[in-house]
Amino acid sequence: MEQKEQIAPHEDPDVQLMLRFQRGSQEAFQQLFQKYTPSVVNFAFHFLGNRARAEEITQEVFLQVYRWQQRYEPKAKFSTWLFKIAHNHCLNEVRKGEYRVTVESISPKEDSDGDERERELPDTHHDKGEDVLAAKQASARITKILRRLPETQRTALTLSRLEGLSYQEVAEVLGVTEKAVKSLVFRATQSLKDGLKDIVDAYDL
Amino acid sequence: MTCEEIREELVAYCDGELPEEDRTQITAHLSTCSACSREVAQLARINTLFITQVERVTPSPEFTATFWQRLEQEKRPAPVQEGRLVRWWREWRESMSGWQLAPALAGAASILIFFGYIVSDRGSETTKPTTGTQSQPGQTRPILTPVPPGQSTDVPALVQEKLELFVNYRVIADLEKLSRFDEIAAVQLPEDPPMSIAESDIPKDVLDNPGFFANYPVLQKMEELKNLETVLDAPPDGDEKHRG
Repeated sequence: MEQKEQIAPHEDPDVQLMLRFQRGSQEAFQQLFQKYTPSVVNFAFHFLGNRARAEEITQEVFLQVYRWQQRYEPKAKFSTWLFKIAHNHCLNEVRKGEYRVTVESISPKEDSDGDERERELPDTHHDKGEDVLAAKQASARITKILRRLPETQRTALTLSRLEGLSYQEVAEVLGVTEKAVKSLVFRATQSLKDGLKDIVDAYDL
Repeated sequence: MTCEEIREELVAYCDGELPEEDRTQITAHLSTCSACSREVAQLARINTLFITQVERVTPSPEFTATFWQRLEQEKRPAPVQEGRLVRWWREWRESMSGWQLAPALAGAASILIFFGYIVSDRGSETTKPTTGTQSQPGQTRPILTPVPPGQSTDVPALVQEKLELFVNYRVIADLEKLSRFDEIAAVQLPEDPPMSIAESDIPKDVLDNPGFFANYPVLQKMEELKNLETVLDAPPDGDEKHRG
């Protein structure tokens, strides 16, 4: 297992892009927008569970980056700063209480029967079609587990695993200690392990 | 470290988030403990499964276009804010169609004429004629000089009756201007330069700096307002004469 490298803010190429944007380069802003749009949309989607709202929030995040260009100070990696803005927007959205946070799935609707887990058990004699089906079912299972996680655990897990942020960077985004992030990621992983136990055990044979 | 303690650190170990010393210790333990090694392999599989199977969304095709449109809207300068009275008048006028407006205006005019009559009638009963306080032609009137009733002025008749009200009226009018300072500075001053101020009255510093020049009348008013307490505490000479 490799130790995660920490880079200084001024060594981050995206910080350099942001500083270029601060000096007036619209092209630098476009590059940042294109690079980070998918990440922010997915972060907001996992947080809010609603694709349309996730897109709306992402637009607001980048509008804020545009507005704050003169106030920007390279104190952290650009992605840390960006996800901090995104996290605040998502929190505000949830606190508005205008809608309940539910994960709206874009994949085909799965049955919500109690025997779902039984049917998802991987078969050791499966063919290729069954592999695809198993993958879809695993995806639906992960979505469900993610939805049930407390917000901080879900955010810590997605930022760490999907966006590659270090515990220290996640701590900055969430405004908690690094030790707290270690605990959040550990508990979230335990929930995944419990929820996906049958799949993991099957491959363990 | 026991196996149980090690397992609590394994997620951070897999994430490469442990200090060097802990990492070395765990690596050494894993080389001898098959159960903990199995746990590491499981965590790696869960991690892979999560990363590859977690649901992801791609922004809709119109996402980028909508964003740049919103950004363009944001970049446009906001229109100058109109005053409360002007806004009220505009909204009221817009809410009325042409045929509704005529009787409404006629009604408003009748009310104004009626109250104007009552006020002027009352004024003639309560005010006493005075002499000796009228300003001489060509003489400029100081700001606090009382205005005799009936004299042509831009101050309403009721205010003319009481010097205190008159003083406050001017102060309130100035305060009103100051509260709308941004509006005045942004809109009125560039179109209406302070031509009435003689060059000799303007300090050299201000003349040297045209930016100061635009704000000079407002700064002058602020200077007057700084002395407001002294002005209000001073015995109203004019009022004494008025009563005498």
